[in-house]
Amino acid sequence: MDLKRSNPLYGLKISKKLIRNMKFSAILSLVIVFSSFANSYSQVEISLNVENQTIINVLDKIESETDLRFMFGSDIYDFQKVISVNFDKVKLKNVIELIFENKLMYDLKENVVVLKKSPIKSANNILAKDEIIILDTNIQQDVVQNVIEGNVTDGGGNPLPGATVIELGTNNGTTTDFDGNFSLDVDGENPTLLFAYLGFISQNIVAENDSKLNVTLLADIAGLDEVVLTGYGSQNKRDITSSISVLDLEGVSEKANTDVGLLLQGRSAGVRVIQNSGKPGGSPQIFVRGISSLSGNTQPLYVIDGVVSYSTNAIDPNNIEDITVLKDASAAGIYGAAGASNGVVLITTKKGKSGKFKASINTYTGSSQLINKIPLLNSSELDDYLNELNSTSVSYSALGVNNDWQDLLYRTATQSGINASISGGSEKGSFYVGIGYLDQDGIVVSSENKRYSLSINVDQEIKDWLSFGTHLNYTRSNVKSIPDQRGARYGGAISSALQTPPFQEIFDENGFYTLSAGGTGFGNENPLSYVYSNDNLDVISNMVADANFSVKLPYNLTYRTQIGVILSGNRYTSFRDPTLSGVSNAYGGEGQYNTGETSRYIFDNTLSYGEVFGMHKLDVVVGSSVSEENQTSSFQTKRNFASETVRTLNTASEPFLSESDAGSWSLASYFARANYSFSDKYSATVSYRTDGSSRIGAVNRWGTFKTLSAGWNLSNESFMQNVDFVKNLKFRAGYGETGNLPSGLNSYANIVKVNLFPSSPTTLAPGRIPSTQAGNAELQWETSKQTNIGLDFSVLNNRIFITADYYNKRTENMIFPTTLPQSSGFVTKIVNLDGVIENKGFEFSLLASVIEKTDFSWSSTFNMSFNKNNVSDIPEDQIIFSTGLQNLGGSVSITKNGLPIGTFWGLNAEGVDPATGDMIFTDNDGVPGITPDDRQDIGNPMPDFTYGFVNEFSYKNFDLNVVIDGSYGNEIYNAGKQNLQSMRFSEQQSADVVNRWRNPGDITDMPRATLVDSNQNSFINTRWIEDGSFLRVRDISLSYNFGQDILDKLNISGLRLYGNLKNWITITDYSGYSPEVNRSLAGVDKVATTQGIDYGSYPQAKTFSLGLNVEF
Amino acid sequence: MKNSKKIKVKINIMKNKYNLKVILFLSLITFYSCTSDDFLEKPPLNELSTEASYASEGDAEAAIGAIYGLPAQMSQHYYKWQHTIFSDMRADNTHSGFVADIINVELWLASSSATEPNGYPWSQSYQYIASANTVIDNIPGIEDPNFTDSEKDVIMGQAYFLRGFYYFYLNRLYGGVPLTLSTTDSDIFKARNTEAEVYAQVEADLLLAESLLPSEYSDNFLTRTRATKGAAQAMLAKVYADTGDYTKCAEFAGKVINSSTYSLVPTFDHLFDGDHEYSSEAIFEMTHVPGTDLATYHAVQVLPPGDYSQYDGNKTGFNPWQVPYHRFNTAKTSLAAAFKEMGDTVREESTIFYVPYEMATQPNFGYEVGEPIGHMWKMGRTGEIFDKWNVILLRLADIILLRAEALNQIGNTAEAITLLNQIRSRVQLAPTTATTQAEVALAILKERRLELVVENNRFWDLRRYYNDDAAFVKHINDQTDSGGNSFGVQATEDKIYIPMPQAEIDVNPNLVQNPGY
Repeated sequence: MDLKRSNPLYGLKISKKLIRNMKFSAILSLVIVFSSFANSYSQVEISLNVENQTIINVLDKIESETDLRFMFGSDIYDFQKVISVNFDKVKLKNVIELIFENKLMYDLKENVVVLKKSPIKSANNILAKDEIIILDTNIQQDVVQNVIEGNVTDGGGNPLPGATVIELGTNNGTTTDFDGNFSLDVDGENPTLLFAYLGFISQNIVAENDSKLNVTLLADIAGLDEVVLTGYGSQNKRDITSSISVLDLEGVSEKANTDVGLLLQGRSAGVRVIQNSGKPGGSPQIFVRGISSLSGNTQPLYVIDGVVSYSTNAIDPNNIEDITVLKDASAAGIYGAAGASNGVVLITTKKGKSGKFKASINTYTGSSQLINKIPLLNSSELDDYLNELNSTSVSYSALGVNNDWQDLLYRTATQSGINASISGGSEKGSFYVGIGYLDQDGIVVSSENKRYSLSINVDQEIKDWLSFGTHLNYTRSNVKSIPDQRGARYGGAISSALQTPPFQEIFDENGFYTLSAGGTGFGNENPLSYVYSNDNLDVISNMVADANFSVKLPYNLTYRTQIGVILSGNRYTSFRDPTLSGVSNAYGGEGQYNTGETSRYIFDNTLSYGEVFGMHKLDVVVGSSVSEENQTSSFQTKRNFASETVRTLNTASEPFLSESDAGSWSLASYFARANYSFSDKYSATVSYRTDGSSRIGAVNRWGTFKTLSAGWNLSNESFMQNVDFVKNLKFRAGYGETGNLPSGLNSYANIVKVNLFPSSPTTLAPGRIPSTQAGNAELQWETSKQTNIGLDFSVLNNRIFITADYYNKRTENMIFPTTLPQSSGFVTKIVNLDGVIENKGFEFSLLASVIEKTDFSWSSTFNMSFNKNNVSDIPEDQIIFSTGLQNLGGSVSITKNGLPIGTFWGLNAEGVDPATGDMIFTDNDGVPGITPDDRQDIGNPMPDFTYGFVNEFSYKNFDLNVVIDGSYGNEIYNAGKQNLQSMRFSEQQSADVVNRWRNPGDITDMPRATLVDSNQNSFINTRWIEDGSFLRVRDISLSYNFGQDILDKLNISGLRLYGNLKNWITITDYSGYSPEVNRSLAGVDKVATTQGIDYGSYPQAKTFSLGLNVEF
Repeated sequence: MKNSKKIKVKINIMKNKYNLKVILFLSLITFYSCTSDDFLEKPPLNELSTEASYASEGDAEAAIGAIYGLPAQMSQHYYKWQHTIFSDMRADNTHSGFVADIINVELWLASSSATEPNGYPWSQSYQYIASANTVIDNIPGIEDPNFTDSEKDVIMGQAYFLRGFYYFYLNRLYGGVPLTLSTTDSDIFKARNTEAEVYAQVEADLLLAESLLPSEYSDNFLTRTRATKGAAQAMLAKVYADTGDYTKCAEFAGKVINSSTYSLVPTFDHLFDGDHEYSSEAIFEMTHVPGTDLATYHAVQVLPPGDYSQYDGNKTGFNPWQVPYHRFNTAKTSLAAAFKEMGDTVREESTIFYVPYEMATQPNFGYEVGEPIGHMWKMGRTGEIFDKWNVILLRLADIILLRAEALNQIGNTAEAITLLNQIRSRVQLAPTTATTQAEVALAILKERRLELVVENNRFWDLRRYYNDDAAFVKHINDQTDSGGNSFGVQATEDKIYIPMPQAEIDVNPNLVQNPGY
């Protein structure tokens, strides 16, 4: 949807259509599309002079003179009719109109002209055609009777050049000129005129003769004529039968964007984006329609310019043109396996636009800061607590040291970036080159990311039947990180800044950073030590590239081949400075040099076929895909450096660690899909895919995934023609299967590990021990079966377009590392667990053109997603305690029948016993004392619903964009609070602790301080569960577009100044830094069963930035 | 029109002559068959498969050797849990320091089933047992002309020994555990075997090991660190002591004592100073190789709190307001008193390391500020802080005292006294004054306490001495600090065995918890 029509960045006002055309031709080169759109044969001019010939002979003559071929059913017209014609350089469409007296329509498929009956005349049906046939008035022989003149504008009062005006029931028509003016000679009295413009709602207007008409066309927010990528192909939006979200990224990519995932935030129903870390270079977690795998991948599959990828790391968000999310199985099924269960995100990078050379620069700078501090005890309050805890009377606050570790750790950080691009093209080809640089400091001191990016896209039509394209996206990031997502005792700087007492010195008497709270004496220092004494750098390179050829074959066949390459490499270096860290000093400094490389190719071949037979439309694609990945990594650590100034490992004398690792996997797939539609009323899609993976044993290596969906455009039924309150009504229903793989590379094999043993008092030899993971040769694919029922319609004269979907996604054969009794000698085994993970939900989105006036417009998208996750039918004895966070009292999360994945499991705290100061816990098993069976469901990390609300306002030269999103009903396990209100550790506690129980009779909700904690007050219980609901104003941007007069003076084509606020308003009851949490230390594949845990996460920042876009 | 002519030619050619061939060719590419089984077969690049791992003599040595390396590599060190906390700390020799989970062990709390420590000996022992089972399953089938039957016997004997060894200690701690005797056993969710069944299996394994193993290996290092006939006999003596068969206990202990392989080292301190490893007294010693992963031990967890400058030249001590987090095995005041009472300065100096008690916030265990507080210190004391952590799992002095105990039990008190005095004389103590059977039994108990403290004996020594669970439990509960204050230990007869790990019960419904938890 594009409502910002006055944006001078798009240069001429004609841009709407131009952009759409160009966008389309870019897609054409990327995927196989059948359409008469942008077909050069439509421009062929025919000269012919025959008398008294049958139509069939006339067509033969045309075939012999040109490359055109005609195709038709012999019963659709009287082809034996004798005619005489005299054409001199008349365009094809006019020839056909004249020969068939405007009674037949045609489709042009390359050089083939398919003749067909004209369907019922209606506004909708005329719009349904790819192009409206316009008769050239200069060959009209009819007598001119009347002239109607007028002007066509959009809702904002801007002229629409090139809009079509047709007198219904005649051959008369014209297009508007540059200023939106038209003049049409009409036949009838008070004729009905049709005004149409792609992307706008067409209108029928009864005109009075010789009148002057001012017509306003409203934007068609339903966008039914837009071409939607579907993976290995595309479809018109009106023919889509599955659940696909096309994201509106209008203007977004011209802003200060740091991560691709964040572009998805709030913009699509059913897509939940959790920005669980504010780390520079960190990526959010993305869940499409809930979590549907226990141990497999839970993140969507990314397809970048047609190349299946597993991350977006190679993409600079500023180079993204389009994002489309395939949500249900019938949409994602063509990608079958390996993650398609979690949805597929199709990313198209920017391409050049034909006919126009363009250079643009986007630069921005800004600053970020911590949103909120967590209130902690002051020094004397902490003295009180420690003395009470340890039965002492010491005053550490008297030491006079008072460090606010949060203030020491966080800073106001700056970020700036610049993106520059040049693009252009001709009818035969286009190019786009974009470069970018981002320099982002984190709000935690010393953390930063410097990212360099490059995008090169070239598409070229070599011959009429052969086209070529190549795309390359590359990023290189230099990331300095700090340890987060872990406790102070394990070096987490975020936790440590909270737990380290204020009276602790920063440096000890030797000039080393002091040890952190709770430190064991070796390896745990105060937060600044990790941040300052550890000099680390992660240099990460990512590339996604492809080259493709498309060959047009006879019989409407197109063959396409694409080789994609994904390369990623990283180099991690770190140095622990022995002059700053006592720990490091003990071993003379420690340096690491780790490298890793992953390379993958993916080779896709497809044959596509598309044809229209009268009212029947058929598209078929069949293909194969093979890919293979190799991974290597190495780890080197040395100690005892000659000097702290030279940090390369050659200057260290003591080898400490030297290892390398390698792995590989391969995947082979065959697939087929057919789209069929009849009379623009009924459409259906079937697909079939079979995948073989090296990650599954030979027994069940191949998995098969089928989908079926159908749609019914009710609005095209004749009985709906007179219904005005609802338009574009379509029902969709589909069912399909998708697959998922184990995260490990060889879960099926029995493995022996190498283990060292002493072969003499001073030497080691490599020995062999059995792996604690038992092999499973019978392992199968995990399968998700998804049913989707959807409804699209628009109301209020197409001003509001609504899409609603209900789905039920059932994951079976769950791949799961089951925990075996250790008495078996094994610890885990990857199995297909019986049972079902069900994600059942309802989601809707609403596109609204709220206000569309001259100088002011407001458009809005609102979406809401309800997802209910439930596990059922897993074996009764298979209760999954996730080890994602092993905190005091065991595992925080449980997965068992009748509950959502990763439900929090612990004791229910009823309050503090005024007599003892201990917590009273619900006794669920009737056994005195606190027993494991007293544990219960204490919270659900999954939200009841999430929502997004995106608003675009436009007033004169100003644009305002507001993105709001939120989550409701989810709970958070605040593991950080478990430390800060432990009442048992000799370290800093949160400010609330002053309310603790001290004497019998005290009524409070904070238990007593106790070192032993025999009542388990600090164990896993409801004290640490908090409501995670939030509403966040994610993004506010205001931009000013300089007017044409200034642009002319500066001799540039666009200039825009913008300010941007991120995360400035958050409404939540959550007491931690950010309600968007998900500890992911265990890696992406462990995310599923440990949702909603907050443990020392790098806080998100609020950011203000200013930017400038210039276009030449 | 010129241009379109050209196109026309091309299209016509394709249309007329090559259409079908081209389409066929491209279709073939589309469906080309590189997807053979080979393409999808990706054996691990960084791991060995079981099938390929046991084919030669070298493989057999690698398989058996690896088991000896395992305990020292565990992040939660086997020695720490099984050999000190659950014997000396849970009895009356040491304190836990101040970690709540460990206090649960020391105080015998019913809730300790939910806490960590009881899980470590379980999970680790079963991994060692699985490794031994792998050897037992795979080595007999190796067909290697260089691998003689007698060489196979030595490997198999070690595997049986190690399996018996670890099942023995599991049985002692948990009281009847599931017996898994093969890696291919399909019965995964096993119920517990009885204590007697486990002892029977341990006895069978150790007897088999005794018959298969040599008395000595080609070099002293292997003789001290590998399973030997003597080690099997020493373990059998322990099995028979536990099961009350003192005749056989004395017999097997005697075999060890009479073997020419073992003799007491003259200087007691040499056993633990880190400079005299692999001594003649060691029957089975676990090696930590200096400067390697196998030397990494959570040393600080048995070190006293405070200033470490004397060890590594750098002061990285604790901050004063912190309760020392790890400080396992602080000597109880009764232990320090026992050394004093016996006048045993030799062993006291080698065992307890006193530092002035100056941190007001640490739990005082009956110590007063300014008094020396004792920390156990029975490990390598020289060299780098992370090195020299050999642990002697079986040594001759233990077996001599065990034979003394057995002989005394079966009426041969005189010979028992002789053996007892042999141990006493090494540490410059006068011969025992005990004469009656009861007096000698108590004297042996006291001797074992001072000789073998933090060597994984005290708990079971006391249990055998009382031979009555009620009396044993009373002894545990009656402990006091030097001021006569109770520690509040809540020992009961049904908690003599530590709880099954809760995590194991969670995944194995057939596993029944011990009654006290």
